[in-house]
Amino acid sequence: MVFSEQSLYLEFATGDMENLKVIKTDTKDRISQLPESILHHILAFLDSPKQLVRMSVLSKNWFAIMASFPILDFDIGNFNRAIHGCWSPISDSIYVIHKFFNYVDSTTSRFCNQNITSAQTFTLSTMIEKPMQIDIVDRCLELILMKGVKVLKVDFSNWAGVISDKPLYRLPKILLSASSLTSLKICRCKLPLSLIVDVVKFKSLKMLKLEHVPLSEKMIKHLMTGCPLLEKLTIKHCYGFKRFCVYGLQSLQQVRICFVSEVERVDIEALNLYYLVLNDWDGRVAPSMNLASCKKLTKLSYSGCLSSTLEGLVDLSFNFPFLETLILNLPDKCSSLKLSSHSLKTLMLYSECDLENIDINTPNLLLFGYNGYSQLFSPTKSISDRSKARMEFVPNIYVDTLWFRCLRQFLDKKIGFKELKLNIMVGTIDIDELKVSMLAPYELEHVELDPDDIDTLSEYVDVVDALLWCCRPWSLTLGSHPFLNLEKERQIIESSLKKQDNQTGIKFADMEGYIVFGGTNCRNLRKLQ
Amino acid sequence: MSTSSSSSKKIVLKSADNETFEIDEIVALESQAIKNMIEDECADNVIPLGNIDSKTLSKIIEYCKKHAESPKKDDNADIDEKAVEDLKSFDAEFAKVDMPLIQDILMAANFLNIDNLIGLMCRTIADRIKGKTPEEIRKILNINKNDLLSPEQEAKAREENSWAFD
Repeated sequence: MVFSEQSLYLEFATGDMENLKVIKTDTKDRISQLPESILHHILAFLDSPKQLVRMSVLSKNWFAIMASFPILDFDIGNFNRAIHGCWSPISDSIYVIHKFFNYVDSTTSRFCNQNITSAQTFTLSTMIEKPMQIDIVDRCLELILMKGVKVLKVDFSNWAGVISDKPLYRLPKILLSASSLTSLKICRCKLPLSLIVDVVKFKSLKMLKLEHVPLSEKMIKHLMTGCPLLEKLTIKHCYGFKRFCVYGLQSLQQVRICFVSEVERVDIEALNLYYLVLNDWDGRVAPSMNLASCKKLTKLSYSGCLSSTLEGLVDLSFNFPFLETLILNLPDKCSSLKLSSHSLKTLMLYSECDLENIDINTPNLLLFGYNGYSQLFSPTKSISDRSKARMEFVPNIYVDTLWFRCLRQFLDKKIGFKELKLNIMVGTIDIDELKVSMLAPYELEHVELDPDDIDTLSEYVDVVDALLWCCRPWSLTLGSHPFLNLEKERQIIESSLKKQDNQTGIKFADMEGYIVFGGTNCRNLRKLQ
Repeated sequence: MSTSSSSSKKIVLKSADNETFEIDEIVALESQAIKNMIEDECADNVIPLGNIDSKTLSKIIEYCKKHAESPKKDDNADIDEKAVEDLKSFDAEFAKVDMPLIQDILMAANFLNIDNLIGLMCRTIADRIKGKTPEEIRKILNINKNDLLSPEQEAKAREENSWAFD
């Protein structure tokens, strides 16, 4: 919202302060003397409908201010909460629904009857129980669209979680000529029938989100032609089309698509598209994708089951030749993952895929984040200032002897990593079993180890031991632990420094490396040589 | 009261009670109105603010200084989370003043066109109103008795949405 007060500024610029002085000394109720836009700004922070209604009875001034408040936000869940004072299931409380629609109706008509402000936002989030309520929704939408509303959200999702078999509400025809709209979100309702014959006039629309909306290919085409300034497009669980094609939208920057399984083809041609999100939970048959013309597409996020879809992602250089950031969220245990891309710099993998089955050919990769959990963690630092390739691993299994062996093998894949961060839960580690292997430790510049689920000194020593069997870092930072004290930390460090490589006989202490405990500010820093 | 840092350009603000405040130009630029004046070259050496008293003005300068020092959010670079937190707690502390002063600051911030400060004061007022009855809010906002709705009007308004007054 932009609040400005031209007249005050003019007085200011011309040095005419008289009026303002008079206002200030004449009355104590200075707030009411503020411009309407400021008072609306205060109202915008009141999120309960109860509180807003109460404001309208304060005074004549506030009554008028409420009538011209350009943000009309109607959410039946919120309304129910306001009435009951806390969250409670609305079930089929006819009383609440009835009161809600009365409130929507009277507030909207009052607003549309005043001629001071045009509509900013209209949000309606509800269920419909009776035909009479459809009439209210129709009437309010028509009024508000004629009032030049900019942000419109109409949501008939079953907020109470009840699946309804009632037919979807169809939006009125006037919607298509709403040239003032900048943002439109609709959920579980139908677009106007006239969409495929009328011209769509979304001349200002920048944000479009359709969720659970039936769409035909023809409707998509008409809709897209009608919004030349579109920047952000979200299509979520919409159905009724096999091909999703968007051509020639010059302003389009972000696209987010949640597929349903019937989609076979996705074609996007958008010069300025830089971020694409694909969610493919159905994933029975992967859609074929053609996005190679999107020369600015540098960021891709893919979530879904590991089906044949991923095969389409294997050679990223072909379909996404400019990709720099890839976020993969594969909740099912996937058997193997192969990726190849020359442009890729950041790869975030959320998966339980075993390290040994990950094969990536990414010569320019700077950050590889591997996380067994779903998207809870983000890389510690942006890669913008990163020059050394780094891995950050947060597996969601207890790491054991075998895991360290896999890690060692993974390091051998010559991806060129220099730094490693491990955030692990420690399981059973048999150091002697590890040492049977004669592989030399892999050389790294820096390693951070944060072991969890350990409570004895010997367990800690073992995990450091296993790590140093895997790799030989120039510097090592160890995570502090509640059971550790200064003396125990010293013991871990001393023991680690004595570790030596079976093959070469080089001790950690013989290198120029040092070990430090994180969080204890270098008090246990040991730098040798 | 004045701030001093050697080389930067200074702006002098003069309050209604004739107290002068010398501040760095960068601090003054937090005010869109002063920024416009400087850009249009219609600002003299001393900018008189005949409708802002010195108590209010010094509060506003305190706010502008802090916000001018903090890194701006709008560039794409990594935002220092600590700086954001720091600014948040500064704002929270800043808003802990009595209602008359909040009103004065809001009026002045609106006059000087300082967007963030307007937002902060509006939110503070909203927070103090939340969960209160109309009678309590009237007291908080010091609403003039002459401006009340007629008993009939008020009864009608309450009747229309009676659920809000239970």
